[in-house]
Amino acid sequence: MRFPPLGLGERPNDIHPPYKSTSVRGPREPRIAVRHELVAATGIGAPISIFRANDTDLTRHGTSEPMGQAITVSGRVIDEDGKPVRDSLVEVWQCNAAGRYAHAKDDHDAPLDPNFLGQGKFLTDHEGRYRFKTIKPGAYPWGNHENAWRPAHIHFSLFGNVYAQRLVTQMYFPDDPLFPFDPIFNGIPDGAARQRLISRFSLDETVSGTSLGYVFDIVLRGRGATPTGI
Amino acid sequence: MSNVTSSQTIGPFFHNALAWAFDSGSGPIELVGRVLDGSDQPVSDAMVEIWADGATGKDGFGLLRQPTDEAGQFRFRIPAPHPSAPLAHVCVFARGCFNQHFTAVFPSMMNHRLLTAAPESRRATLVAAKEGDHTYRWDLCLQGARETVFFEYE
Repeated sequence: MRFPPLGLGERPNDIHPPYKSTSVRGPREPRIAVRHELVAATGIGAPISIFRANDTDLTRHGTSEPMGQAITVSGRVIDEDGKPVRDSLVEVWQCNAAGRYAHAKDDHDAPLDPNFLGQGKFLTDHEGRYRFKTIKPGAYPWGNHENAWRPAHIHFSLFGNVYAQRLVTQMYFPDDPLFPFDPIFNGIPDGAARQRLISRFSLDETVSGTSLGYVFDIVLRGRGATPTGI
Repeated sequence: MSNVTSSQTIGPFFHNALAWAFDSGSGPIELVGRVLDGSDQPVSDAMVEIWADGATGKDGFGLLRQPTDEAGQFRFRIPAPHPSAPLAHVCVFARGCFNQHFTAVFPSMMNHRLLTAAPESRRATLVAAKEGDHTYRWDLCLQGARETVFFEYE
């Protein structure tokens, strides 16, 4: 398997002054290129025993339905050759419909929802597909600058089939008016690469009378994977 | 141009969702250290993942994962070191980091291709200090004079 260099601007710069904490947390030295086999030739096993009931239905973590717009998020995880990334662990987390995380350090003055924890995990299937049900997260303010608001987003953590494919990213929603003002979204210099983080609405994935459908396909780094994906 | 999905920060609110895999391990050797920023301040909301031969996490999961504490500290129990291999491969995530950072920690300076790939003047950032018989101490510096060497795969 090979990991061709990313295109210019496809990866956020480690230091992006509009996102203030990057100024002391972003490395300044260049990364050292090494063959990925030197680091971890194999993937990270995710035994089936780690999965719990309703890990793919975030609307069933309380005693009744959470507040907010029910949605499903689905898509495919593929590599740079377009091959499916099979049986691979994905973790997701998000705030509730009011823009508040079920997290002790979130001090946003918006209501917690006792029926929404905002966390899930699952494996991709043989075609690299995944699907989970949740509610649409709200936007929320943060302290980066005056009147700073994060566009609605869902955090994704992916493991791929070799550890070099590890990716943590955020999925956004179409037509969010906050995009021009968000230094995290805009930390990706390349405009097309930014657009790839925006899910699309799908009437086909919308469940009649139940939930709106959003589709988010993910391309992990790597070419030349063996057919089994290992 | 590729068609790769770009990275975004893990943010400060990952703990509850990722806690199912928080596990410091059960090996005989302790690997302890801090994540520090460019001002030498502790990074108290980072997450560190390590993988080492023979170290298995919760329910057989293939890596060990810990959040840093208020002092920016992480602590793992890992297998006894091999004389010609790193103690662990390491990946760090944090608010203020757009990207994950891959690195490795070695029990001593040795002739290993990961170490020799790094500029000689910076190799020491990949080597832990031994304390007593069973503990290795190693700080992971995101930036600054002691900035840890980070790797990129090809």
